[in-house]
Amino acid sequence: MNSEDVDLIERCKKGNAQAERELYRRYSPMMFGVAIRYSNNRHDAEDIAQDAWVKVFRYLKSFSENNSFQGWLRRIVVNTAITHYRRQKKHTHHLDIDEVYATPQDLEAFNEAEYNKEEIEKAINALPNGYATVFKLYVIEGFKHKEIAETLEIDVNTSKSQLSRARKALQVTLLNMARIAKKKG
Amino acid sequence: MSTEQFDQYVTGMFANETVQPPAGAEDALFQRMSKIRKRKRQIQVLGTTVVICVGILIGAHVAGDPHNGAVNSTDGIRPIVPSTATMATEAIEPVPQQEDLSQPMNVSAESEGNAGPSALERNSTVASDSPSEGNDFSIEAEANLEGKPSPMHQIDALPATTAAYDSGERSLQAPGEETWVLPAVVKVKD
Repeated sequence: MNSEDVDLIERCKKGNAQAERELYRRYSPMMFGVAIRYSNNRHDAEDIAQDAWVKVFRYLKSFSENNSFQGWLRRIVVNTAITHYRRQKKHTHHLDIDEVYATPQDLEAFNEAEYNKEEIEKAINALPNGYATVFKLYVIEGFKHKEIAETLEIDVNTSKSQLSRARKALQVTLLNMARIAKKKG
Repeated sequence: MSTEQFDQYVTGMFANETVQPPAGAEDALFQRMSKIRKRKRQIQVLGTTVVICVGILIGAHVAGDPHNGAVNSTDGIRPIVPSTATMATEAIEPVPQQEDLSQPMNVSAESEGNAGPSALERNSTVASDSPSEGNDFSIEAEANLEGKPSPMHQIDALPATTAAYDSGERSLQAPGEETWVLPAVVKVKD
């Protein structure tokens, strides 16, 4: 964490309104990016981001400068998003879908193919919510399985198995997308 | 592409992803923050007021505590505890039946009619002997002022009367019967 951030956080802790606005302007694009990743639409993402910022200012005094501030912010947004969806009961983490089987040919084709960001984002969003959430938490946010289990209130082994299934499902989805694109081309 | 490579590929894509929030989001957030802080301050003020009021009430209560030398309204009032002996007597005393009561009453009425004034007449005599009606309390009060025990307090003299009665009763007993050994000593053998 750089000295500017430390100074800004210290001023925020003292209740300086201008420092709070400065902190918001510095980190709100990152926060909103995370919020939009865990929400179905932009309106939900705005609500999640705002709730997350309220929590940030409320608990800023308990933040220690020895930790990563960005990591702390990211974790708050993710937890807020999960709470948001749990409250709305739109989100379930134990979705049972048919087993996804990728054939060796599929995996070979997957290894050779290249995908851009939009394609991968689309493929992730096509996953069942439970798989997508575990995948995003583990691969994008860098959570450990234990942390995912605590956040989603699931077993560690469930987190591991859901990640494995999510990877396979993602490979199949990306291959199908590539095949469709090839046919069109 | 292995699993690890794919993970790294995806991580790299989304690691520094930023999305600009809508224009009004900042003002909406800080308006909400100011409302929350205002409510928090109101709750703090309310809480402080409640604490002060409770403190004042406790202070007033402590000031009125009898242990602190203040006037105790219950001083001088002795609780009336009925004697256990009286209670026991009342409990044991059988209720006389109606048939039993009727005969003695008739007899007494006859005897009273022949021998002397009835209870009512006696009562009326007592009442007429008194200086004036309704002065019973004044007499009692005078008795108290003179240091004489009122009929209410004469119960304190009962042990002496009982002792006198006992001594009189003992004199009526046969000399041979006065061989009681009390209290008895019981020895338990192993």
